[in-house]
Amino acid sequence: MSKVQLLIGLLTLLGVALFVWWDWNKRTSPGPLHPSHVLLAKLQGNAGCIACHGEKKTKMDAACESCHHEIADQRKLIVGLHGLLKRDKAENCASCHTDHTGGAVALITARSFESAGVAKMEAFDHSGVTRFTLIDRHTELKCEQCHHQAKAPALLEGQKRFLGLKQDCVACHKDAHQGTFGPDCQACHGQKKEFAKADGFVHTNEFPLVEVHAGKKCADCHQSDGPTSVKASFGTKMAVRTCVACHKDVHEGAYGNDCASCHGTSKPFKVVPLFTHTTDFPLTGGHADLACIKCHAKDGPNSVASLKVTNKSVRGCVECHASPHPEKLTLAIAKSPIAAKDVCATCHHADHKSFLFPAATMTSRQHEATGFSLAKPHDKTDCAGCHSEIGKRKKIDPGPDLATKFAVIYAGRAQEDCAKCHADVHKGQFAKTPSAGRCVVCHSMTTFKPNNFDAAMHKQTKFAIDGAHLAVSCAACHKKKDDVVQFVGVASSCTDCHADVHRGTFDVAGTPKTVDGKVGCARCHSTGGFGQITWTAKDHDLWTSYKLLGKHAEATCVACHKRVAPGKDVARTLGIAPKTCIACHADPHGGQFEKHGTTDCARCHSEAATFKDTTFNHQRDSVFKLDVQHIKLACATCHREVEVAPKVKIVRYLPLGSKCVDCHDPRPDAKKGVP
Amino acid sequence: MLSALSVTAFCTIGLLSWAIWHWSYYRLQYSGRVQSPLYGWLRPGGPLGLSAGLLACALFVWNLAYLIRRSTWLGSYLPGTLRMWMGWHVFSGLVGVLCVLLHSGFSMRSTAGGHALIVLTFVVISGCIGRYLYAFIPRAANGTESSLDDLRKQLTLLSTDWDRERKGFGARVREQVDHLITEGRWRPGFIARIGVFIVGQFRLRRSLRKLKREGALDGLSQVEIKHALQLARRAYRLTLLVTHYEEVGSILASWRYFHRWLGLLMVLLAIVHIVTASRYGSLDFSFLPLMGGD
Repeated sequence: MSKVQLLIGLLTLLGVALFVWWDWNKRTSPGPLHPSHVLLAKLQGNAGCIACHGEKKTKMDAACESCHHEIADQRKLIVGLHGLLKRDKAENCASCHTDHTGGAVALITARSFESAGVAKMEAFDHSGVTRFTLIDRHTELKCEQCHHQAKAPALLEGQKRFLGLKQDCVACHKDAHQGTFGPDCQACHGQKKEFAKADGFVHTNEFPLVEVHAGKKCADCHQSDGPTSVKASFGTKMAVRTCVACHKDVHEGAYGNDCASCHGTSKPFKVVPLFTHTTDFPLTGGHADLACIKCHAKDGPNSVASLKVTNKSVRGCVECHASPHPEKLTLAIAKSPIAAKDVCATCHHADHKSFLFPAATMTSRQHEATGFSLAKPHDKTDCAGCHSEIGKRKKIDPGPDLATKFAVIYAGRAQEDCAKCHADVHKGQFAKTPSAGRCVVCHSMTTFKPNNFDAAMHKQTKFAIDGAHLAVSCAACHKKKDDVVQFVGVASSCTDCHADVHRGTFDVAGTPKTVDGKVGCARCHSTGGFGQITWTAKDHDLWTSYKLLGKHAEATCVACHKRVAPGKDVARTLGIAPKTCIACHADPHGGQFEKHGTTDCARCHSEAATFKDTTFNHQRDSVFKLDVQHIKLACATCHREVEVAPKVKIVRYLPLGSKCVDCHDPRPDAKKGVP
Repeated sequence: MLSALSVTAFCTIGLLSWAIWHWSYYRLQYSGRVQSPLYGWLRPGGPLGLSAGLLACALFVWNLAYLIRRSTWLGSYLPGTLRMWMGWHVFSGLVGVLCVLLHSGFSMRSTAGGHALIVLTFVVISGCIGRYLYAFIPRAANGTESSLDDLRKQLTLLSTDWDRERKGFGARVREQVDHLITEGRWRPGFIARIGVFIVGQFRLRRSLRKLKREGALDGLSQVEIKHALQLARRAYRLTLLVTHYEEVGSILASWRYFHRWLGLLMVLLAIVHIVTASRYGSLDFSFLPLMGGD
């Protein structure tokens, strides 16, 4: 090995040694300390390593706790977060707290808590670990609101992040009582409400703060100084104050000092819940909240002073209250076995605070006393149904016009004066009739429908109802117009309702306008039915100029007038009767008297007589005058029955010979002809 | 050696996979890491990091045992050939680096440990260079370097092989090799020698490419060309060693000098790191049953 090589070797060794020495002395720290530690001189340099990491045989916890005494105390007493850590965790501070990042990472992070077994910083078991239970309003606080340095990036020497706080209230809160009430603020103030409300404070048992005294501030009763101050109460027992010690006695001592015996402590002073009025007149309802002065004037017979010495009877309602009701009403109600002074109480109960509906009650019987029975249909009607203002109106101030004003609201009504309440569905059609406004003339009191207007009543109108009209519904004639059923001015002639099936046939010129005083259809028809006509022979003569005589007068119409179907322009259903007899009657003579195609039956027969009672005169009407011999003969002697067709026999009248031989056979043995 | 490099490559892939798997942690700066839930497990003093550190220590101790095996008076007491020990040396060095990387969490800080890792990097680089030089020098079957006489014998045998090849192309290749040997001007000094050595390697490669093209133009088969060029490389190496035996030896000596001093520095820094960490660090030995682990 040459000297040069040796020198190079030595130099290299020196270089290596220097490098290692430099690392050993200067580069042992893995990074700059946290600002909180940087500020501490004793943590600088290699000595600083030992300060935190400990000597060779000491562990890191002992080194750290040399500065962090609270931690040491916790571990010594086995309390707090560090005191409850597992040994290996507690001895190795760096397992939770990371330094040598130059402050880039806080010394206490979420990982610190997590490493210590606290999943989340917010979930820290404050109660179990610190023995300071966060309840009520404390649970709403953030850590840094009590631990002001909780999130500080760095602490100065002596500053504490979480530890070091005392658990006394006054450690954080200002003692408004300056220590006069001791340190246990929570005992009175609790933690649920704001400090000013000391819910937990129990006042002396001799003077419990209840009811109206409950909401008072201490200073309302206890001055800051003097014998009633809170400070004065400590050490010495303060005498319980009377009411008048704080409150002004408005009775000026007239009722003694025990105000609470009447006024109690639960309601405003003006209300005297514990005061018992005379049992004859209990203060209930509207009387309950009245000031005494309202009824008891300072002076006079009703004054409290007077009543205390005189035994005055209980006042009736009307002594204090003006009545708006008509005298007849109160008199009517007073008929019932009620003392006159108590009449008001029949409707207005003393327990009620108002005279107005619905406090005021009225029975059906009382209502009847007003002259208006609440029988059907008014028995189910709400009060407001008739008295529209009820329940809505303002109280009427008592005064001289009280009754007048009241009468406007409760105007008297007649039982049958329906129109006062009910709308006129007939829209005034009967306004000018005798029954105007009196619906009950046609309608019953109990129901509007059905009405009472029967045929007898209809008879009193211009149009009596009878016959077939009795079966017709009212609506058939009384139509609606503008949604109103028409009763007045309804047309009454037949043709207003019925069509003229005769199409004016009976009204042409020459026809009678009246028949027995009847006009129109009534000349022939009656209301009994269209078919029931009273047609007589006389009428036939009157209407047709064809007098019905004899059997014709007895014949039915259709015997001569055959039924026909009405034509387009002809309405008749009975045909025109034929003019000739042969058109209706059969010719028993077999056309023996026919001349020029017609047979004049009237030459021998008359309508007025029977067919057999002929008007034929043989001497006058025949060319064969009957002599003495012949006149004695029966007609059939000469006019014999001959068979002109099989089974058709007729009496022979023509032609018949007028010579003797036509009938007589001159031969002695002749058998033909007449003898 | 090949199996050692294979295992190392396998470990490297495994380490890279691990790094990718936990990239969410490894990508963070130190300040971010300490707030990560994985910090307790992956930090250098944590169970995994500490395990890797201890394993690295063991590997480096094993690695340094190669020095003992190399020594002439103690090495004979240790079993195994020098070549095998060299393989273990390379394997333990490379895998040790992987363990150190895992231990460090793939980050370096300006501490003794960080400096040790930097130096280790240089040691590894120098080791790779040394392994190249190691492979350049022909060795006996047991791994010992061939002496100059051995080299001359080998060169003689190579000349015999050379002459069996086709005279024309073979002669041209020999000329080229001779030219390369004589062209390199070796100068005193480590840097200069390294420069000539590296430049010579580049020239050899360029010349061989040129000869390959010419052989193809002459109609030689690829097998013949390949064989000729293998002979050329071997001839160049032997000729260079025979011609510049002292210079090449100097290069190796210089390299050993740097490699060993770097190794020493790394070891010392590692010791400083271990001592400091043991002294001040928060080491989690809970993974060891005897140290309080479950």
